[in-house]
Amino acid sequence: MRWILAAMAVVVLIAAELFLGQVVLAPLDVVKALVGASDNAVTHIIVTGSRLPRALTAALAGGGLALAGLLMQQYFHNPLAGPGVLGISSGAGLGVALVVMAGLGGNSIVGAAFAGAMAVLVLILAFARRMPQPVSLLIFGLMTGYLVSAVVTIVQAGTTSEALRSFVFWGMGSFADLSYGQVAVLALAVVPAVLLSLRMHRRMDLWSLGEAYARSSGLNVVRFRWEVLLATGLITGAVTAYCGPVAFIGLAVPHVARGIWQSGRHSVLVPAVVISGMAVGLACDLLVRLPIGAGGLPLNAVTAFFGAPVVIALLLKGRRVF
Amino acid sequence: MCNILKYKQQTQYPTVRFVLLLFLGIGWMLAGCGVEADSSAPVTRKAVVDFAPVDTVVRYAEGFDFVATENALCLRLLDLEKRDGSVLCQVCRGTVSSDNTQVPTVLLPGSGIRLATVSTTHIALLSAIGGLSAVVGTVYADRILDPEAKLLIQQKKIADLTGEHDLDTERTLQANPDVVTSYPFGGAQYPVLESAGIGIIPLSEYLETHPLGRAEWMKVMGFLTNRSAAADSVFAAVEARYNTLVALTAPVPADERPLLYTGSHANGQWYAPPANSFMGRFSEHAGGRYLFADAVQPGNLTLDFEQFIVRAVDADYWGRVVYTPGPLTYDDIATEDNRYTALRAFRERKVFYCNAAETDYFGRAITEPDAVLADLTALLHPQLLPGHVYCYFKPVRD
Repeated sequence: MRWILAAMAVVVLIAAELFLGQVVLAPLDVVKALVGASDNAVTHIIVTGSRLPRALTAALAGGGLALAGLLMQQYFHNPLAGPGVLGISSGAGLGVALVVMAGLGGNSIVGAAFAGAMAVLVLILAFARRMPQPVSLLIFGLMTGYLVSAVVTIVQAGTTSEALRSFVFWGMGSFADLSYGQVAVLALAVVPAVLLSLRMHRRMDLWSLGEAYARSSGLNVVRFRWEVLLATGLITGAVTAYCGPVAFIGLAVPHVARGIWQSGRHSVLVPAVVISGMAVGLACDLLVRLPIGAGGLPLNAVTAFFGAPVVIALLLKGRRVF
Repeated sequence: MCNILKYKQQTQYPTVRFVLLLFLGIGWMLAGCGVEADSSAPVTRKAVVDFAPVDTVVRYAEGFDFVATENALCLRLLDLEKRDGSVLCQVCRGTVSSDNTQVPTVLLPGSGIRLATVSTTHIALLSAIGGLSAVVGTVYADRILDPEAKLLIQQKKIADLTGEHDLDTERTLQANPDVVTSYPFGGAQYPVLESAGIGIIPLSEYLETHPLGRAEWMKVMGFLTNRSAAADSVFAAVEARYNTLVALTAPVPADERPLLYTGSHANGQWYAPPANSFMGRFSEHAGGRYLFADAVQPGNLTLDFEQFIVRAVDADYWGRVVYTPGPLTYDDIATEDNRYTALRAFRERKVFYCNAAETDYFGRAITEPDAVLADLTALLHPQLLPGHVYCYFKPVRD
């Protein structure tokens, strides 16, 4: 029943993304635009050029970030871990800061963010073998994040107000303005990471019982670590590159999914977290698009407003969140 | 913000003050000995308390005016955020009694002012009136495009005062300016500078909504650097050229005025200046119709991209201010966001732009609104200015 409700929620939210917006469109016109039968250029742009890619982005990024959060929380045995804990988001931020300062924009921002995120991921993977303890890797990731953030701050301090404005907007996060090509690249990063996580659900179950138990049960810890880091890095790098450093979904949604599904088995948790993340991503984007104030709310404000009370409510109800 | 009667003025310029008083006395006698001066109303006569005559009539700017008292001529800097007539600060030449001072006041030396600035726009305003010799320091010296200012920076005659938060306190103290021209929103380092006797003068030229109003702030720089005659002369020429262009487009009937828009796109939102803005006025004066003419508001207009596309899809022209190395092409625009290709301005190749990386749009262009208007007029109505050579705005090429 929970699966059906979750799937229905995703479908309803995608429909809401397509049929609702700042410009009121007749439902029939929306359907016509979706099947390529619309003779109105503006309706066609709004539905197929704006709303549909935005909905797909919200679903992919929401599901991906939630999964990345689950992977990090499980790997580090830390309920406060999230996709940003490895410093990958900060790496993306550095890439963006550099190109924005150089006066570039558009696709170069995406490329730079992806390059920055991947550079930090490679750095972490390279150092991972020297730090067998997860907590060491956690601290290494945090320190890398601080270092990269320091460089970003230096770059920001010496940049123009126009460039600073671009960087601030990027930092607010947004699921808007992706082309289908960019959505496809996002999917190429998120979908394989989801499949990989589904494939290693048994190993994640073992790992959640403790490293010593997992080793004694025959888990290849090194390979497991590489796969977790690779999946997390791909998701975080791609989402941050295209949508900015979207906060809170990765941290909050795994707790919400655990609260709803009441299961510690990763064969359940992985799909539950992904589908919950999709729903949360879509819901947050709908809230962003509501005409509140001037131009709606920034995505990162909405994700925090949405996520924090949900986690607190679950805690107050006494449910196990980790 | 402005300090109450500049300490350094009172302590370090006794000779200057004496000369000032001497001139004030002569001025008082020439003015007719005992003429009642209204301290509240702006005067429209030539004030005589300055070393150089000052045209105290402010025609377009809303952020400052001049008030003459018996013993001083004061520049009043008004709060353009509130626009309720409240005075942020006054800057006076002459003698102002501290007992009678109701607003923060900076007293200027009689001559040879040493000025530092936190804005590249202020550099442009000073350059336009030949007042750069008064500048001893500026922030972000590497971003200044004015050739004369760049040379003075290279020659170390203008110091780079850039620090952690715009203005470095120690470098500024070392440069020893009499005043710092700044913004109205203050800075953490200003109290220290004020305690050292440096007057902080908050300028709001960037909040002016009329292109000539923003240029008219060169009169403020003229007053500060004692080059009012030059400022008046340069501004009068700019005003005349600007109004000639306005007269040229005035007869264009409404149905021949192309619809144009500007703005920038981020995070699914379109940010555009309202009708009562610099660009809104420019559009109308260039013989166009501004797409967002119905939006009269403080601050930028924010539209969801859907709302923007509905309004802009059939507009004739799209004007952009970009910061990019090299020329902007239609391929660049299509790559930036493929949805732009549906806009009529894109399809009919009627997108124009100003590249702020190559032209001093945020500096010199402020002092040359006539040149900007000429570009816009030539873009919208090429037949009115045949053979025009573009200075700031130019068409996007394929």
